[in-house]
Amino acid sequence: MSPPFLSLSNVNARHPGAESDVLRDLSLSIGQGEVVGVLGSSGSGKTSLLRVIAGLLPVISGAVVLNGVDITTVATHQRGIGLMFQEHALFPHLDVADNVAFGLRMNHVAKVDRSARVAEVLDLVGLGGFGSRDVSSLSGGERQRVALARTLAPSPRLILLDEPMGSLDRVLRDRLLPELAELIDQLGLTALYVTHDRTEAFELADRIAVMDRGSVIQIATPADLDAAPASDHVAALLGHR
Amino acid sequence: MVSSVPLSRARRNDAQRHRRFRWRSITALPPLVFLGVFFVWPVVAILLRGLRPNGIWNLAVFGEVLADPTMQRVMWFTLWEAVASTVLCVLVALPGAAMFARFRFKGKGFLWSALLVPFVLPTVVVAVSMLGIIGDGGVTGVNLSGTVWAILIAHVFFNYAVVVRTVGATWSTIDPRLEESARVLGAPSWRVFVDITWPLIRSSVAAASSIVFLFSFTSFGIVLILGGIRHRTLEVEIYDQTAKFLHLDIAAVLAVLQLVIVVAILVWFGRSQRRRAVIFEQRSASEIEHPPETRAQRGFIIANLVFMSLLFGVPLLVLVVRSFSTPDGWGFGFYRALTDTRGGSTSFVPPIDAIGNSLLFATMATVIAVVLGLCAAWTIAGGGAASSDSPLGRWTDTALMIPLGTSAVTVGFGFLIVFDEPPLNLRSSLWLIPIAHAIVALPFVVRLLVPALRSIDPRLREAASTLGASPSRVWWTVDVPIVGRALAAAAGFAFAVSLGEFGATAFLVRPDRPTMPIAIYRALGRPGEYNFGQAMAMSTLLMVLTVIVILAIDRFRPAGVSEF
Amino acid sequence: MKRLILIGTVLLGLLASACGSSGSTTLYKEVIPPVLVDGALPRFDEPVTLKVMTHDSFAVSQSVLDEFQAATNVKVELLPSGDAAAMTNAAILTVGNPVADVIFGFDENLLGSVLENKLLTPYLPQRLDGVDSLFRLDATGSATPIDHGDVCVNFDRASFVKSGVAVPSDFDGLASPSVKNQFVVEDPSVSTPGLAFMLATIAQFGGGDDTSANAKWLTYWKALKANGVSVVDGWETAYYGSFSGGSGKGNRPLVVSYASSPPAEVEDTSLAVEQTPTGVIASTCYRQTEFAGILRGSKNQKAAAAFIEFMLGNSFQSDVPAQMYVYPVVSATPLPETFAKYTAPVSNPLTLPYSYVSANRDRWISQWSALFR
Repeated sequence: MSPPFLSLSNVNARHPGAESDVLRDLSLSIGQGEVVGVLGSSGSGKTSLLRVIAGLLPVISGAVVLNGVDITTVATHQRGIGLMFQEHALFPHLDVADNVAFGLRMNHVAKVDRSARVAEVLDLVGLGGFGSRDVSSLSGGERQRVALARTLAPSPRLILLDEPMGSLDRVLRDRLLPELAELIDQLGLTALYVTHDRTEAFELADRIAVMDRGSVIQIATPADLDAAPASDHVAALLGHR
Repeated sequence: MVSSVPLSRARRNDAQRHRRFRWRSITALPPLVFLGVFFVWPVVAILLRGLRPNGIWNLAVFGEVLADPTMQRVMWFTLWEAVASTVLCVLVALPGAAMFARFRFKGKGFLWSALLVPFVLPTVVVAVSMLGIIGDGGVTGVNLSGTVWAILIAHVFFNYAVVVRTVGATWSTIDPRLEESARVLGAPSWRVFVDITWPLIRSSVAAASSIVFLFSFTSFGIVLILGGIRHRTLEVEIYDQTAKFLHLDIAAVLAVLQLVIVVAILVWFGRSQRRRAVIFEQRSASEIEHPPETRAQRGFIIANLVFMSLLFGVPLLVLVVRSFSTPDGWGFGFYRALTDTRGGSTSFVPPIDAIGNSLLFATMATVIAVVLGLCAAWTIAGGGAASSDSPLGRWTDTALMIPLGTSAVTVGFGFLIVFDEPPLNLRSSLWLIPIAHAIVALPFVVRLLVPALRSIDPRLREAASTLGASPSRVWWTVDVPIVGRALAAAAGFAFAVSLGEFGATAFLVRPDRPTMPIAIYRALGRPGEYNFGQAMAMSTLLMVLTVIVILAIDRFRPAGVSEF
Repeated sequence: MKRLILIGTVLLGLLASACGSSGSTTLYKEVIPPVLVDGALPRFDEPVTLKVMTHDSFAVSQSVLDEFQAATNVKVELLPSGDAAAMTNAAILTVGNPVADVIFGFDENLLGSVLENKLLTPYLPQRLDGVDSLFRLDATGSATPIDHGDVCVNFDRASFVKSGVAVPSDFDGLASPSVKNQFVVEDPSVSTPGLAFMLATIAQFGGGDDTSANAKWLTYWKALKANGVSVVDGWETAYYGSFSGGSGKGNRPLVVSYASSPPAEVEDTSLAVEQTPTGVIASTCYRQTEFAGILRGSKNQKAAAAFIEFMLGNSFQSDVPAQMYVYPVVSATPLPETFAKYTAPVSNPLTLPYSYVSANRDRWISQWSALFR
């Protein structure tokens, strides 16, 4: 087996001002091109895991290594990682195209190439021609796609998705989920996908990491996980009786 | 967490829109009539007295004044010192706003309230304190008195809170995930600020700037005391031409100029504010603020606190120290002297009475300002859909700001010539004081209430309407409870403005009803250690009272919608 | 009643023409008849409220006003209306329909505009006899002198003792190199004492008719400027902000203030006169007389006249020094102890005729401003 693309070893982290650690001795490895779903109840540290990888939450101890380079202390904007928030966090003062182009602009992509890439990515998410739209005029599903396009545009080495379907209704989610799965597959992305919904995790992920109280308590393929949950808690999360 | 999602307009039919418009026009009436009677009328009357003496227009005086090199210098200086003060104030206050918006630290709530103290302190008290620091022979050894720097520093001193509290309030509602998204997408800190934060706070910066500009543009006491004799503003010139020389023609020309510039600036600010306004989902501040994480963040907070203690702490400390430093050593001698009746002199102000009068006038002014402010804010906020922005509302907003940019002596002398006959023979009426205070407080009240009204989800109003509620009932049952907290904050702010108001009060006050700032001036107008000490002691009491009032208000402060 | 007014008017006209007064020679349509009855104040059957417009520095003991009310049934309501100039201009603006019945506190520098604008209804107080003719500047009798003070240069005694430099004794001494950068004055264009000091230099050096930049008095100001004189906006800034003596918080030992300022700095009344923290340079003093008058259009003329008489009476006159740091115009009035001990009445103050001042004041100020701005 090739060396892991991303590895976290014995990571401890806590929110500023908090009494206790939100991540405890967490270790996790992901291979290139692998999609890992992170499943856990709320408060288990799923989002904090993504924030540590993105550099938005500093670690107290432990190391984060990406593609063989220790990035533990590298500033967020130099990590080349994509992160998509549950609330999408679209820039309200920019139109759709400018939102998508933002990362390209920060990476000094020339203007001509920038517009080409924006058009390409918007087509990819099915929003061709939406470039000049105001983000406040978009529907929930459209916002979600713009956020995805914005994350994908600079071609990050790794994308982190924090409950990307969390703010959408059931019908929309059922429609978008296969599309997202296909997109990830088509682009060969390495991704970490946080969700509390087992269906989503099972549909998208190559492997699923189950988190509880700041640690990964089990990591396995969906089938293995389903067959042999490591504990009652994991079983409960999977909806087993 | 309230979102201002525009409502799809198709659902509202034309008749309804028409009715709403009429209703909105009616609520605009009380504040506009009030402004018309107590501001426009006196000002127009005094201007006409100057420009149309004996019924004949004398417009040639415009040419004479405009061609006078001394006046040209005054106009130019006024304009550029106001612009420089505004820019400087915004530059030094933005880091402060950022600190309050993003971080949680010990004493934050107190500091946020205490920031308003300089805003309400009488100019002369602060100026004399400042002379002790940056004046001739001041403790720093740097003599800035008579220079533009002294004026600029004092303007920053008085207006810092306006910028920090206005911008800080908006900043604290910006979802930090926007900035985080930008960082993840490769933006270094400075680009996050330039590309994300700045566009979102820009309209509140414009709102604060317009107030700072007006205050600096009409600066009077600071320019006189700290600016030396070579620096004169239009305000100083208008005062001299009116009160000292009774050259009403020259004064009228200058007042017209002042009005023209003020209106032009207000319209320009208003326009840029609207053009650039971005409606975004607001977060509650408590969700966002966090303790400093890194050494750089701790350093940032410390640097801000050091700056604030230099700018405010030192002058205010000088003042407090002087109030305790009696000829017989440290003690409460000057505070005790406040109760010395000086042989029953009419100029004596028992401190309790001064405090009582201040509180009484402030209460009356608050009631007037809040009632009228609510009407005005409802008109401006559109009374309905969040995004609607009527010309009537825009003009109401601008009109209410104009008094802040108008000379107190113009209004004061105007009062004398228009309110001289029944039924409005108010020239020596006590009511003029709270009325004048209310005029000053109105723009602040309105600017606090408008965002709160706009944040009301229009669907609530529609729901109420469809259930058969009349417009007034909708207003009473939906709007009032929701804006209650903003209302409390506005009331407190009006109260504080009234506590500190001096310019207009000095024209209108009666000796048996002096306010605290008036008592301070009276003590300072006489020689002797005890008179000076009493002025310092009374100023200290005013500071304490202000902090108490503002602390009480801030407890009511609505998360996310408050300005100032 | 009408006849009395008529007689009074005629008498007044005769008086005015007989004196050949240099001021206003306007004939007034009305004049108020004497109100004292056998030297005593009149008593009103119905309570009257009398409004008195004053400058901001006006002060009187409440007990004195109570005494007036007890004697006459007239209640006095005070209306402070800014400094003396602002008050006078406010009165001019409302001439004929006044805010108050009586105006108090305009000085000789404002007397010209008061008379020119026919602000007052003439009343010749019966108690004017006790007043030195020196103060009776208005021959028409409409402006009644009430008190006088002197604007003088004050010095910080301790500072001069410490430095060993002699205290300047006259105007020239203030421009001498030994007191370089040690003198602070108020801007004459905005400050009352500042204006008085500028007038003092005109009275001292002359050249008031010279419109050039080389007028004698301006030459003196050039010397002051070269000697580092500091000009500030007003008395508060000069005295508390720049002056080093007494309660001053600054570092300049010479300031333009009043002859009556030194007593206010004395905390310990056993102190000898030569030991007071601050002192006065007597040769720099300029006389200021404060006047009162009955505003034309007042509906309470008789009560107003009674109050004018009262202000010349012993109770009010003897209250004036302690309350306003000025001298009573009735020379026989006894002075309070500290006042008598620590202020020597200025024997030969500088003065200028008020008509001369009102005709030239604005020009002098612009000449001065041209030098300093």
